[in-house]
Formats: sequence, C-alpha cells, structure tokens
Amino acid sequence: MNKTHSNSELIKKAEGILGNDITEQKPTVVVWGLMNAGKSHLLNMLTNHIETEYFRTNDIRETSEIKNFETEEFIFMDTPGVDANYNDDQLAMSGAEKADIILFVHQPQGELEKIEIDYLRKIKKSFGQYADKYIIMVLSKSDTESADNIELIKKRILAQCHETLGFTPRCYAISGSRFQAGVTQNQSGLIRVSHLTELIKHLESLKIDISSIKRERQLIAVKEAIKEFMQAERALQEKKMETERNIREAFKTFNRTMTEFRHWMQNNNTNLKG
Amino acid sequence: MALPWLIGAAVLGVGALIAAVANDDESSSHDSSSDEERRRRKQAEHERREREKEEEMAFLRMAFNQEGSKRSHDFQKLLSEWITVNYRGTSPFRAVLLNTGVQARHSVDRHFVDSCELGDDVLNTETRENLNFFETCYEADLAMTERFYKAVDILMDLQEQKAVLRHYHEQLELISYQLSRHPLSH
Repeated sequence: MNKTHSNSELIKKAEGILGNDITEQKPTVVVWGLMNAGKSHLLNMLTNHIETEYFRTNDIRETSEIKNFETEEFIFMDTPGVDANYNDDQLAMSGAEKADIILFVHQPQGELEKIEIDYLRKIKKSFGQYADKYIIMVLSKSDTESADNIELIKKRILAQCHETLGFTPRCYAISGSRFQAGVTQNQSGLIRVSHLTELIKHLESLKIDISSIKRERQLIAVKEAIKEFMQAERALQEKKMETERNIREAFKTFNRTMTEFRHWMQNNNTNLKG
Repeated sequence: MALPWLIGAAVLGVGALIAAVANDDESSSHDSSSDEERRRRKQAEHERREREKEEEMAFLRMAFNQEGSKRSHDFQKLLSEWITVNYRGTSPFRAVLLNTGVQARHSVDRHFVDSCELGDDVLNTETRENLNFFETCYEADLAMTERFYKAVDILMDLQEQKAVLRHYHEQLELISYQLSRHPLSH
C-alpha cells in the first residue's frame, strides 16, 4: 500500500469521525463475527423478521456489505463475516467503528480462534473503559451442542477474554432456531430456552447511558486518528526533507565551483588595483 | 675735466656689466633646452608605460576571457542533470576587465530562478544567488531538466498533502479538545 493511498484512507477515516453524530440518541448495535457465525440470523430475530428474512442468511458468504435496520429503539447493523477477504474485513471494521454496542457472535465449535481474538483486541481498545459493558459475546447456535458443552465453551471464551484481552464481557448462549420456532409455534418454552429475550432485555438496559459510550468511543477514535495523522505528517515531512536534501546535494559542486569562480574574479580585481 | 683714472674705472665697470649680462643670457638659453629635453623624455617614458600597461591589460583581458570561456563548459556540465544551459553565441562570457576592475555585464530581465519560481522551498539562498550571478556573467538560456521538474513536482505534492493532513488534524484536535472538556459520566 503506498503512502498516498494510505493517506486517502486516513482522510476517509477522519471524515467518518468528523461526520459522526454523537448526539444521536438511538444506539447502534453492530453484529460482528467470523463468516457463517450466525450473525444475520440473530439480527433477523432481534428485528422481528421471524418468517421473512431481512438480513440474508446462508451457509455461504451472503453479507458483503453493511446493512442496517432501524427499529424504534435501535439501529441494527450487519457486517460481512471477517476473514473472508480483505475488503470484507475492512468493511466489517468500519462497521465496528460506528457501533455503540457490539454483539460479537461466535458459533460453538470450540474456543475463540486467534483471528477472533485479534479483532476483539482492536474493538476492545476502541471501547476504552466501556468495553466490559458494551461488547457482548454471543454464543450462537447453542442448540447444536449439549448444554454442558455450551457451558464449557462459554467458560472458556470468558477465560480467554479475561486472560488474553483483559476484559470481562457478558456472554449469552442463544439459539435463534429455538426462538424462531417458539415464536412461529407460539411456544413460550422454546422462546425461554433460546435465551434471546435475556439478550434483548440486556440491550434495552444499555440504552440509558448510551451518550457516554458514544462520547468515549468518539474521543478514543479522535485520539487514535490524531496519532495516525501525526505519523503520516511526519512521514511526509521526512520525504520532503529527503527530496530537498537531494536537490541541495545536486547543486553542491556547482556552488563550490561558483565560490571558486567568484574568488577568481575577485583576484583579477585585486591584481588590477594592485 | 674728469680724472683719467675715474674715466678708466667707469669704462671697466660698464664693460664688466655688459660681460655679466651677456653671461646670463647664455646660461638661461642652456637651461631652457634641458627642460624641454627632460619633458620630452618624461613624456616618452609615460607613453611607453601607458603602452606597456595597455599591452598588459590587453593580455590580461585575453587571458580573462579565455579562462571565462573555458569555465563556461564546466558550468554547463556541472548543471546538466538539473538545468540545461544553452549558451548564446560562441563567446557567451560577458564579464569584462575594465581598468577600474571586473564587471559582470550581462543584464538579465528576469532571472531563471524567478521565472521558474524556484523559491526558498526548492533551492537554498546560496544556490539561487549563484545561479543569478552565473546569468550575469554568461549569456545563456537556462531550463529545468525533466529530473528537476519531477523533484519540484514531488516537493509541491508533498506540501499539498501535508496541508490537507494538517487541515484534518486541526479539526480532530478541536473535537478532541471539546470532548475532553466535558467529563464523561460513568
């Protein structure tokens, strides 16, 4: 990536930050995770798209852009699954930058993968002191494993967050399928064991203090961007100085010869007057 | 009746007086011709010296011109990578030796560094002064080479980029200041 390109990215980032309206009272909930983690399905359930999908789901890569759905209380945002390709990763990161609440979705095939930890680290940093509260781990498809296994995975994930990343988020093991079946078949038991309602309640509780996280995230993003701008400006300054040095160097011999030339003229002058 | 001895003395006196006057005339005529001779000699000496001086000056001028012309090639070569120097005519060296001293005689309407807008941000003062002086000593057309244009373009581009970054940086600093002024509630 060349400097000009990286500077245009930086400018784009700054424009994003500068255009960010932190007075907006509705929290933005961004769903984030690896490809096929169950993000879109979770969003469909959270936005009450039980029978008809709004966020497209499939076993293959379906989401390649950021898609929003606004309810009365929240703005829900779907992001492409990370680790599919560079553009998707960038898009997912830019989505995360807009988030007030992150639902980090992990499907229960085991503990957090390295790439998930790496991304979590970045996101956590951008949430500052509010990371514990506003980053929520979601163990999706909990119906695909036994309850004991789900419990083990949940513990392991939280231990990873604590030991590796130094934060203690909440973790919800949910089942979108149970929730969907519960709603369509009107079975409250299924809805209850889906644990989705607990997640919804928790989201609602977070609405109260949303302006603090908006401001905190904005401040962190601004400070981070200032650092990057300073670095970029320094790099440009160094390049400028190097070019100036090259030009100066190129005329060094000419200047030396001109000094000698002036002396020669001066000597002729002195000889005449002498 | 006058005394004979007195008459004799008077005659002798007049004779002596005449002789003295005659002697003076002779000596004066002799001095005058010697001055003339001296003046002529002096004049001749002066003319000889002047001639020698002129010859010497002519020699010095010739040597000066030769050296100046010889150096023109050195300058052309030295500048070639960054500035193309096209001399006008076969004797472009325009500095002259006068009795009063050396004079750079080529008047330049607009110096190369000014017409190409090569300010302090591109060339340092020493180089700009040297290029100006070079133009007053040599009758030549100076032009920037492709390489020089490229370097200047890079410099201008970097300056523009820096200004753009600075603009955003300042806006971010302002927001940071505003956000920091309001303590966050927990």
